[in-house]
Amino acid sequence: MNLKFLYSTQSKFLIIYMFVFLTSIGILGFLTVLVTGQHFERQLKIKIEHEANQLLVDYKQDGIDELWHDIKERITLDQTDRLLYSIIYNQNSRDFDKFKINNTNSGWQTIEDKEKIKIYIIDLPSGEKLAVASQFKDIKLLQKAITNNYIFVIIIVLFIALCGGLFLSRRYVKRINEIRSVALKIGQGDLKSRIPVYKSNDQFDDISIIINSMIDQIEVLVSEVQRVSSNIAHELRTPLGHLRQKIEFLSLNESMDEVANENVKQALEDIDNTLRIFKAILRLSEIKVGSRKSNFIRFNLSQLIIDICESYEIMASESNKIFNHNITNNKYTIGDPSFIRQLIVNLIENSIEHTTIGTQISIELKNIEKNKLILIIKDNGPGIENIDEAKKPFTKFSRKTNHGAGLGLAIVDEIANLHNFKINFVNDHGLKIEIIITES
Amino acid sequence: MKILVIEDDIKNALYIKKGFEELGHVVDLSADGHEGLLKASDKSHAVIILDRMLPDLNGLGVLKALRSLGLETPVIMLTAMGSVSDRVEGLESGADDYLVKPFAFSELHARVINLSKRSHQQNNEILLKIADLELNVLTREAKRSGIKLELLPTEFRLLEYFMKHPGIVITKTMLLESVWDFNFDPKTSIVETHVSRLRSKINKGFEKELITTIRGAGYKIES
Repeated sequence: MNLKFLYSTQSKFLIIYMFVFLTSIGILGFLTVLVTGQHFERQLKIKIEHEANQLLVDYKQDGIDELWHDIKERITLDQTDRLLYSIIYNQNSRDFDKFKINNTNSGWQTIEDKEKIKIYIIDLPSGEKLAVASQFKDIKLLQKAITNNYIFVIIIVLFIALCGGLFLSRRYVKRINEIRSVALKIGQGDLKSRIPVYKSNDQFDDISIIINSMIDQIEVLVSEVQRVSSNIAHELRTPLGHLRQKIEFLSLNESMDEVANENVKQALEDIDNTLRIFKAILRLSEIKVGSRKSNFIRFNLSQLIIDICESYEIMASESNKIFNHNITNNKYTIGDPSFIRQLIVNLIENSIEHTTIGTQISIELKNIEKNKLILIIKDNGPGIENIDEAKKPFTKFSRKTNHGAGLGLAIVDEIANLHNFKINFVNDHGLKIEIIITES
Repeated sequence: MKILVIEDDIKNALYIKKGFEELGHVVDLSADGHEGLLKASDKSHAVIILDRMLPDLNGLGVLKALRSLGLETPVIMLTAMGSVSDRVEGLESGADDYLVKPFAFSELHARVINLSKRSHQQNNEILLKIADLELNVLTREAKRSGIKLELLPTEFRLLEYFMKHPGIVITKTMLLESVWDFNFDPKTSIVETHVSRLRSKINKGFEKELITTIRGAGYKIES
């Protein structure tokens, strides 16, 4: 049996809650038994004393014979559940009930024989002693009844405690889970999530409000950073575009000599490269803004990959690399096909560009379980030295033969994030990239 | 050919004007949407080049107004925004083509020429013919002088695109967008490689080159 649930906040809460409930009921029960016992004993003593005094009054009026008769009468009249009486002449000679006594001193004494007996002895002026006593039977019975009832009460209380505990803990656990799921979403880059606030003014509301304002701040900062970087790229594109146009017109000028012509051509290439980088930055921020899910459709992923493979098989063989593909047919997913196309092309081109002649490149799409696809793009080239760094924009990741300085893998990573694909970069006799895709 | 440029970035507008004028075209300039709309409504232009971000009435608004006036002049939209959703939005509003700034003038030129020809041309023929080259869109068969060409699906799509746009310059980006459906720049020379393979398949055993390279601009299939 899996005991993990015992460690959850909910079951801990429940166990503590029930323990507190049971302990208080236990203490209450114990005190009830104790207090009723004492109360009954007191009542009994008053009753005994009262009876003894009554008999003493009779004795004083009419002497020992009348006392004897009185007692006789009481014993005869009330056969059950009556007080015990004894006239003690001396240690060995007694009339009526022969219950055990410790001594014949006047006052109270308690005997523990088969049963507990409370005895009150008074001296009679004529030298005899009168003992009135009572068994504790009733008190015992009552205490037993109370105890029995308490077992029943405890069962009910346990049930109520369980229900109450479940109700309360679920309330708390629900709110903890709400905070948890929002924090998780924020961690995954969904900065639009907020924790619900119930206006109950409790600590949960308090902490929710604080966390929400924290997320607000993060959202502002993140969008500010994105805005600034994409604004820089955006603002620079216009003047760079003008510059490009000027150089382009220069290149059309046929009166230039060969050296000038070559320089202009070179300048045009340089500026095109610069513009390409800006385009990639803008593309990255476009994906990062994330909520661009408006173009998400269900499409045939297998066909999309097969089409790309057809083109890149030729590209690979042109650069003397061996390209294999094994794509399961007619697998569909939901996403933006134009982004997915870029993701796959970036990865294949990465493998073609950064490996040596004769490298084997393979791409595979298959189910790993029902409704889950895995796309594996693999080569037996040099791999990447610092895999985690490679996914960050502008970090120069080093493949042992070549240096890529790019946004390529950063874009791949962002596209995967946008689609909630899980992506793994592994060095496994070369570079292996695994992407887990939800089939739909 | 008379072209209308509606663009508020004066520098950009002047370069476009200069470029087309050097190639012998007439260019009308307009710096805002309302004026542009007014100029366009005389229906004298072969193509309209429309910037998406304009003061007052923006490009999409101008386009919708043009189309609702029943003006069918082909429109190419210029935009600083290159995202797919922007592109889709532009094309859905009735733009015939879409070009992201900054662009090479040769790219704009090729697209403008393409649009001006498109308005006279029928693109939905089943049997396309150029010289001795034949392509059947339905049976997916291509022949040269009656000899069947063995083409891969991508090569077939490439040839189909060429044959639907005879006599005009076709740029690399146009091919990437239409044949491969890529709206990003791949690092490898995928277009060049495929065009050169297609070319060698078409030309095998024949004297005459049908697809030619236009330096610094793209390719052209003879009409």
